[in-house]
Parts: sequence; structure tokens; C-alpha cells
Amino acid sequence: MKILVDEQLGLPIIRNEKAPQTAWKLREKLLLGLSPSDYRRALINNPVNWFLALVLLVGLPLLAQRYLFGLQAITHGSQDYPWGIILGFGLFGMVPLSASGFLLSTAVEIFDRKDFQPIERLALLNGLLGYFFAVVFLLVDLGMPWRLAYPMFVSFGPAAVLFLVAWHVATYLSVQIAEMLPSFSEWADTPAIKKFIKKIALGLTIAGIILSTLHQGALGALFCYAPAKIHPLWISPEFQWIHFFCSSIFAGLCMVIVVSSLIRRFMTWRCDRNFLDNLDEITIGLARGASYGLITYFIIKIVAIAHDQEWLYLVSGWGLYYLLEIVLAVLLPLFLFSYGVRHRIMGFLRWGSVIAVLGIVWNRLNTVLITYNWQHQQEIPHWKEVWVVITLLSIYFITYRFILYRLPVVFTWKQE
Amino acid sequence: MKLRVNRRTFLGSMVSAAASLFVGQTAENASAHDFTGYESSKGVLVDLSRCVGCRSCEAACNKEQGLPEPEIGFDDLSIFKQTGPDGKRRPDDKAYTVVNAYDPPLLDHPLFRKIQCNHCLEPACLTACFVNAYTKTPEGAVVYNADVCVGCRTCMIACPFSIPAFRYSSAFHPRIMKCIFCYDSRLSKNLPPACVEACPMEALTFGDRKTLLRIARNRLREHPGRYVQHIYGEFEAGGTSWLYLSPVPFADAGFDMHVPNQPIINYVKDFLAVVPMVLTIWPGLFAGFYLLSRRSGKAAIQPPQPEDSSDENTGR
Amino acid sequence: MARKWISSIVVISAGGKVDTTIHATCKQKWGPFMKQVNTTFPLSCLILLLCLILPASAAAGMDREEAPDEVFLNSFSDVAVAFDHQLHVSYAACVECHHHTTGDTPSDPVCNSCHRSGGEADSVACRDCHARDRFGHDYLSKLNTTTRYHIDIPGLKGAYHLSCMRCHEAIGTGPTACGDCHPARKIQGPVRK
Repeated sequence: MKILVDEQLGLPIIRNEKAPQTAWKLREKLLLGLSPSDYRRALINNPVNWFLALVLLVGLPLLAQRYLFGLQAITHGSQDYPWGIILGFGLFGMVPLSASGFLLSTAVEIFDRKDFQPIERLALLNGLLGYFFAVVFLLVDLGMPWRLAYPMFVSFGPAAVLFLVAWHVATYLSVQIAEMLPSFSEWADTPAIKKFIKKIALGLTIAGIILSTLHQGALGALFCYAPAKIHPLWISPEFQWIHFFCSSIFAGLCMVIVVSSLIRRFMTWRCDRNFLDNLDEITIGLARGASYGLITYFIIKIVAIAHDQEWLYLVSGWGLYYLLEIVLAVLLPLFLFSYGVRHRIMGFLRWGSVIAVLGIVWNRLNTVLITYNWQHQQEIPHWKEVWVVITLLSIYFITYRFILYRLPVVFTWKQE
Repeated sequence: MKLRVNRRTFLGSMVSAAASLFVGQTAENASAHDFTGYESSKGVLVDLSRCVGCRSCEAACNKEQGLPEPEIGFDDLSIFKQTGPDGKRRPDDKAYTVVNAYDPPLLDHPLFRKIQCNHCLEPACLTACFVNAYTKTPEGAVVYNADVCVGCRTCMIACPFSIPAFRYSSAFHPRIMKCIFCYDSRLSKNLPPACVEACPMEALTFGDRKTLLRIARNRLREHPGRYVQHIYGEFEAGGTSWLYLSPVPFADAGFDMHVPNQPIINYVKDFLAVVPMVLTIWPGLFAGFYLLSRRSGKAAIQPPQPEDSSDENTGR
Repeated sequence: MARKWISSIVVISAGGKVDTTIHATCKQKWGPFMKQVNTTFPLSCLILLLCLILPASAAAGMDREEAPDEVFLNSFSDVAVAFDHQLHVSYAACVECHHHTTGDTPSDPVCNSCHRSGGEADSVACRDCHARDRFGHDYLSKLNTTTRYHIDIPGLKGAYHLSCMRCHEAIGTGPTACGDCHPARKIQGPVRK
């Protein structure tokens, strides 16, 4: 989009002023102040869009196939692996990466860490979109997506962990929408909303902490239902929820580092000085937080092995795979963070975050898919299923980008 | 009726943090810990030493439950050589029960094992279901209600015996398919399930679970050489309505010996106990942090003052 | 040839209660007599008549020679299963199949603790202990009493199959596949070979 900035005056839109010659709001609000033809040209000039188009070109028909002919059409329809990569990645991977919202709002609103303020909205948006798309992934994977609201309104199984997840994700999604409303109200020029949200900001934040603690943990506790199916190294009934909750802390922080780095690199025109100038300090702060999360996570992983007396498993094939995960996904980023923070090497922090983000997704996939039924045969997902995941990720990316371009997330909206 | 008790209320998932102080009941019904099945619970004792692999039970089940015609007929014995993804067939959306052949090292002939829902006393599928689609009937059957099922398939994850199957092939009428102990057509009328009735070898014995345990112990005592001294299902997964006797170690007959001896829900209780604590402690704790970080002795829970936290005043 | 004659008459006249009738016959020690009557058809009719009307009497110590020659098992189907009783008598003790009911000492030491000298039972017919309707309320409530030891008596069909097949497998000879005994059956199941 750098091309856009070079060619077009009046960009970026950062205030509620109308363009002098026209009252047409669409152009300012949605088309970034460009004329429709310019906007189209900008879209076509961007190679990323071509890639996305290619993904969608195959992916959307696959989605149609899924809804017309059932899950069998795009997956193996496995009875032994009821949760495939759609849920494994989409729900169990996306949710920890979306813990950023509650973490940063806690830091800023509760602990008064104003130094994180420039990134608070990005963290909130990352959280909101992550959760929203986790639900989208769920809608693709659920057998009867039209019954999504059944646990809320029709039939209740309140003693089930998933009941808690459903309620908390639904409620937390609402909380996150509320938390994002201030940006929306600035963009949509409706200050009343912002005023109202401000009044309940603390309540929202604390609700966010509670709901996040519980459902991040609950996603882990879901696997306690399969204590004999998942490899013992990846399932530890007493600790599972703490593992998932704790790992979501550094996962969320690392995701913010990754996203903010990408934004600074590829969307500089959209950022303001407040964001750009403070980003390095913020990244160091986030990385420091993430390293605390990582070391805690590492320790409780070891504690769980000791508690369940699973040392012998470590010398098996699965054990080596487990150690590989610990070394690559936990210790490596931990080292990169501690070294990078001390010596202020931003590259270490950014790449450490990328590794940690991938590592957490890896960990979730290990739990849901790879070590599930570890005593039996493993299953390689159908290519269509993988493609659907990539498709949904692309839609996630497009939505993310769409909002970042427009709403005041990485820039401050000018008040009249 | 349902076994479960409400351990918590979920008013707790409130929007306002203050409200959470008043919710999150910690009360747990003691009976939930002690549930060992209904008094009148029926069951089936499966004696592997008797089964000859005639598949009459499969045929009877297929007919009774109106399941689709199988690709390979019930009198075709080549089925025993057929392998699924896991080496053996398993119950799926087209068959509630299957018989597999095993070659245990201790026997000079194949050993046959019928697989179907074991109808746990405290079923994992039921306790994992967030829309209450499963019910454990007093007769002992674990039945499923397709009308409320959302298709999340957690029951398939939770079932320690990997019994529930999903009808993936349907876009508009998918559902879980699993043995329901012929509840609607037979068990509720105190009749044995179709498979039991069809078994010519009486490898399947139907009766009160308590009586079946006595019978099983009798057989173990009277014929110590015929069986390994274990009743599979007496304690597995907290006890199941279907019980098994085997002439060879159960692992050699394809049984999963990693199934724990307590109900699966017990593994989740650690987390469930945390829920009310978080709901009650977190609000006060973080409100306290808020006050501390502001070093302000003012009113307890109040939104931050605009000049403290509004973002337009920071930055440039 | 004449033996077949008798058997078929037994089947017809007893109306599906073959094994009872024949066992009643042998129990009343008319077995030896039966051998003689084998030669003459009218006499066999008389025997049959007598065995149907005479009341059962308790008598101990049955001889192998008293056993019927052939039994047609037709409790479950019109197509009877022919069981060559005499063949089995020639190489198996009565107690192998009849437990303690023939009055002999059972071979199983577990049974012996009670049935060592129990005497001959009222009936040695399978169907008199092993119910044809094993799910019938009467049968189940009879078994399901706390004071009873034998709570685990198979039904008639189970008893036949278990008895026959376990032994045939153990000695490695004799029919074990469905079709070997049930020529008309659709399911051709057992494959323990």
C-alpha cells in the first residue's frame, strides 16, 4: 500500500473531516479517500491480493462443498479423529494467540502501564478477531452450525467444560466488541458510544480477565476428557488448564509483537508517530512479559512430568518429540527473549515471537491431533481440510487488514 | 433423568465484573462423587470364550435399528480380514456393533470380540456434552437425542472406548450414531437387546448388572482355567453396564487397558473446582490491583478518570 | 432302518418334544427293550404309547445301553438337527453332557461338592433345565434369587451350542461350522478353524 501513499494525497484518513468537494462518506470511510477506480487499481497492484485471490478461488468452493455435502466432502470424516485440523488450528490455536486483548487491557487499565497504551487497541483488535474467527472455524467444523446457540438458549449441559467454553467465548466476544467500540465510535463519528464504554471500561477489563482465565484454561481442560487417548506427556489432568492458560499469556503477547512488527514493516503509512516511536520499547516490554510466561510455562511443564512420574516416557520416541517441542517452542524463544531484551536486539525479539507463536500452534496441534490416539495410527489431514484452514486464515487476514486500514487502531484519531 | 448436578451456575459469565461477586456457586452435590449406577441397571455379560464369530449380533442389530445394508454381507467371513484405519473395524455411523477377530498368542484359534457402546455407569459422553444430548436411563442405557445435538463431537473425544460415531456424510442431517442398548424398542420394555437375543452361543447374557457380576464371578471361580481373572467393565471407566470375560489377557483381545478405573469426569473435576474460585476471587483481586496501581483511596470500583487513561491525550 | 422309523414316529407323535420323550424312554429302563423292538414296527408303536402314558419313576444308575440312538433337536426350528446319540455314548461318559442328572458322579470336581451322590434326576432332558425361552420372566426370576447357586444356566439353544462346540473344538473333531449341523441355515458363521 506504499504505492497508495505515494500517489494519493489526503491519505491516511485520520479525522472526521469531509472531503472538501463531496459529502460522499463512503469514499472517506471505506475507500481510504480514494475514488473507486483508484481503489480497485490499488487492490490489483498488490501481489498479496493475488495470492489471497488464489487461495479463495479454491477455498470458497470447498466451503460450499462442505455446507452442501457435509464434512465428509472436505475431510477424511474420521471416526477416530473427531477433531481435525480445522478445530485443532482454528479453535485451539487461534484462541491462545488472541489472549492479547485481555493481557494488554489488564496492563493498561488495571496496572496503569501507560507505556503500553499505543498498542492496547491493536491487542484488543487482535483478540477480538482471533476469537471471532475461532467461532468462524467452529462454524465450519460443527456438524450442525445452525445450532450454535443451542447451549445458550435451547438445551443446557452446565457440567460440561465445553458449556463453559461456549458461554465464556460468547460473553468474552461481546466484551471484546465493547472494548473495540471506542475505535469504532471515533471512526463512525458517534462519540456517545465511546463515552459509555469508558464508564464501564474497568468492569469490562476485569470481566475479560475472568473469562479469559477460565476459557483459556477450559480449552485445556477439554482434553482431560481424553486422559487415556492423548500421550501422557501432553496431557496432565491436574495441570492441563494451567498449561493452556499460562501458554496463552506468552502466546498472546508474542502474537502482538508479530502483528505490530508486520504493521510497522508493511503498513507504516497507517501508523502514527505515537505507535512507531514507542514500538521498540513496547516490544521489549512485551517480550519481557512473554519470557516470564515462558519460564513459568516451562517450569509447570516439568512439574507436571514430575507429578505424573512420566520421566521414563521422555526416553521414548514420543519423549524425544516432546523434548523437541520444549526446546524449539519454549526454550529457544525464552533464550531469544532474555538475550534480546538484555542487549536490545529487536530481531531476536521479533523472531523469537514468531517462533513462540508457531510453537504454541504446534503444541495445540500436538495435543489435538498428533499425539491423540498415540497408541494407534496417526492421520494426515485431507488436503481440502488444510486448504479450508488456509482459506479461513486468508479471510481473517483480509478482515484484519481491512479494519487496520480504517479504524484508529495503530493511529490516533484527530478530535475536532 | 440426568446424573449430573449443576456444579456451577453460569450467570458468572457476566459482563460486569462486580456482578461476579455474587455468583459462582461452589456447592457440589456429594452424591455426584459416589454415583455407582442405578439400582435396576441392566447389563450384558460378554463371554469371549463362547463367541464363535457368527456375526448374528451384527445382523440383528442392523435389522433392529434400521441401519443401512452393509457392503459386505453378514455371512461373509472375509470381513474379519478387513482392516480399518486402526487395523480393526470399529462401530461407525453404519454399524452400532462389530465383531472383530484376534489372534492371541495363547490360543490356537481366533478369538472374537464384539464391540459396541459399553453403557458406562457415569458416561463420559454424557458428562462431556454441553447440550445435554445424552441421557443415562435407569435401565442402564445411554441414549442420545439428535434434536439438540450441535455436532461438536466432544463425546467422541471423551468416550474412552471410542464408540460414538458421526454421520459426516450428511450436510443437513448429521448426527451421532451409537448403540442405544435397543432402548426404545426393547430395553424400556424389559426385553433384551436384539444382539443378545440373536446370539446362538449365549456369549451374551442379559440381566441386572449386579446379577451379571455374580454370574461372572461364578464363572471365574468354577472355570479358573478358562478365563483370565478379570471382569472388564466392573471398574473400567467407573464401571460399565456391559461386562466382559476373556480367555486371554484383555489386551490380546484388543481391549484398551489404558482406560482408567474411574469415571472420565473425575479428570475434569480439578478444573471445574477452579471455576468458582476464579469467578469469586478474580474480581476483588484485580479491582485491588487497580486501586493499588492508582495509589488512590477513592471509591472502590470506578472507571478510570478520562484524563488518566484516555488515549487521545497521549502520544503526540 | 427301523431305528429311523422309530425316531420319525417319535418326532411326529411328540410334536416337537422329541428329546424329552426319548429321554423319558431311556430313563424308564426300556432301552434294552428298545433294541429288541427295533426289529418290529408294531411293537415299537406300543413302546411309544407306553412311554407316553407311563408316569416317570425315580430310579438310580442309568446304563449306557439305555441311551437312545438318535435324537432330533427341533425346539427352535422345523428343520430338526439330527444328533447321533449312540455315537456320542460310545466315546463319552454320560456326565460329560448330562452333568449330574444321570446319577453318575460328575467329572467336574466343582460339581462334585454337591452332586457326588445326588442320585438320578427326574429328567435328563436338556430342555427341562435349559429353558427354551431364556428371556422368559419365569426363567429369569428363577435364576435371579439370592439363595440359589445355579444362577448361570444357559438357555436351551446356548446349552446345545456350548456343549457341542466346546467339546468338538477340544477333541479336534466333530462339526463346528453352522452348516455342518444346520444345512438350511442362512448364516454360515463359525470360523474357528
